[in-house]
Amino acid sequence: MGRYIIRRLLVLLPVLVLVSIIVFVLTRLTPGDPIRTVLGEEDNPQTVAELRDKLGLDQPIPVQYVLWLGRAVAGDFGKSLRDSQPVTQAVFERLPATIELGLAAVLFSLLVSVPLALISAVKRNSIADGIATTISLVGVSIPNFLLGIGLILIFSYIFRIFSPGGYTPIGEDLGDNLKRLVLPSIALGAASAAVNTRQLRSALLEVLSQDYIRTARAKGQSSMKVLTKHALKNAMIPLLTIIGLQIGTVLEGAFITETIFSWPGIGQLAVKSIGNRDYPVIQGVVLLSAVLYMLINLIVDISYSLVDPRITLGQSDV
Amino acid sequence: MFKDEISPLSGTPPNVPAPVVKLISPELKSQPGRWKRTWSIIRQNPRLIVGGTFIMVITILAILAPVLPLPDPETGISSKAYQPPGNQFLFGSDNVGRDVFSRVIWGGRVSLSVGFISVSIGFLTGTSLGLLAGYFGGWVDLLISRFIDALLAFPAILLAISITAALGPQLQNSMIAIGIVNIPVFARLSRGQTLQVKARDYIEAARALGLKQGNILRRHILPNILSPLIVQASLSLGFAILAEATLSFLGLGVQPPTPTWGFDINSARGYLSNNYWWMVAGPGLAIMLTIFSFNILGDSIRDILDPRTRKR
Repeated sequence: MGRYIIRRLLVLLPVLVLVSIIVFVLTRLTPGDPIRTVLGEEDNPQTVAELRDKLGLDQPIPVQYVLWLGRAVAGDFGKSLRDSQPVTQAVFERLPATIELGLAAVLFSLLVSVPLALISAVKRNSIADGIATTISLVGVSIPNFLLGIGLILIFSYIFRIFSPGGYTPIGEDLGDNLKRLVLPSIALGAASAAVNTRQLRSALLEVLSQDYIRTARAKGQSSMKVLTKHALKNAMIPLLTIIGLQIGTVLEGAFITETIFSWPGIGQLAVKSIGNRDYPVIQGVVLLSAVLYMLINLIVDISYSLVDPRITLGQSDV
Repeated sequence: MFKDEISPLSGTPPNVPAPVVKLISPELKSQPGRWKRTWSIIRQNPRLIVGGTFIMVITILAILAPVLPLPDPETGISSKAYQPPGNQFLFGSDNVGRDVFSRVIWGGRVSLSVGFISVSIGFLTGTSLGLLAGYFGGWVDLLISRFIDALLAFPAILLAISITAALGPQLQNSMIAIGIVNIPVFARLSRGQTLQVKARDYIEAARALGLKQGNILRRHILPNILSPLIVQASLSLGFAILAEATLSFLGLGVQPPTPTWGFDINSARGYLSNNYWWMVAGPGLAIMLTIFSFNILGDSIRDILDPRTRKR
């Protein structure tokens, strides 16, 4: 296991370098001069030259990249061109809000998808199965910004149950924090719930047709025991992959959901930075998101062997 | 599914001339039989009919938008703003008195063109890369695979947002961005399929006959890996339309006053507190039904092509 993890991390290294090149090149392609973002209308040539020198923009692009990468590895992504706040600080200040929203969304998706998939697989081809399958298909087809707006319209403006947006820190008022968390977590978790339902249903159907399930039934085990002890456990592998990938989906969905619900996480920070052409922040957020996404995928791969001991993480897995 | 495998002489390359072709069962070549079979498959799949019909209708409406008797989607009459759906405005009117239905149909032109072109970019580039990686292996595979891994390291929408933000908010840039995001899935799929197909006897035979590598790739491997790629293309179309709507929603897509579904929903956000729900409902339903249709179409095609899932 240890050797496998080390090998996987070594494979990740060249990918990380490529990712950093993509991020760097993309932000350098962004139209508009970053100097203008900082200085606005001021066009004193000396001030412009000094700032260009200070930001390292007078260096050749490859040199700029190496300098930037060196600092990024040390956790220094520079300062925001807008408010001079260090990017790392800006990201870590907003990370708890994103993590809270992400966890709530994953929890919502599991609470919906596991029962729906179970009903769907056990009552295969029934009306219940049809309804569950349709719900999951519709869920996949609704963009989270559309669902978010629909939820705001219904629950904030028509029934006036929840606030249309905003954030209260947990430490300040837990009740209000949770109340404000409901709509964004549903908007963010719905698509994941739909995908999870489809995958888990498919996996359960595969497992339910296996010989050991028939044997368990023949031994007189109750349907519930067969389902929970044998079927669900064996259907967990594809679900685990999907949950891992869904964390990534939740991460990207957060960019939109946080913007709609004025949730002060890294997604909202990134969208604002794109609008402001604040490229140190964009670079920092995009690179950190990509690294996080890769690590999640690695953790998912490793967790396979924990769920299913038959899977050994050998040389061929890399 | 493997086209070349209909040759009864296993291991014989399919381009071997006449005698082999004559051995192929006549009903396989019979066009009426094939059409009949296709029609029977379509009739047995109501989801295929529903999805396909909706996509056909929305595509035809979008293509014919300039000749349809629709009000100008970009200019409105301020005295007719905020009209709910009714006889005069089928889907209601927006904050500047523009016809929401007209904007939905015109918006479909943008969404569908971005969808089809970006998926074509992803399909052509991704499939070519996957074919090369899978067929040649070695350093070609290593280089391509690491590049694909790097693209896959980004959450898809975030990558599309970053590329569009870098290139500038324009229609063609949305297409390029979503096209690039679509490359990895086609590359991975075609690489895996190529690895399977290239190990087959008829490829070995084609090589032994001295066929050029380009010929082998184009005429013997590509046709045999197309089925899963076509299914993926249909599913990717749903994602592409969603991605375009998201980019437009963030103001990174086509710029106003050109109608786009995503941007219109974003504009309507400011009027939600007044309960002008129809400003969101029209473009929202259009996005949802289009993505839904592409998804069920993709699912149905997969079910038809994959015998393992046919009865699931």
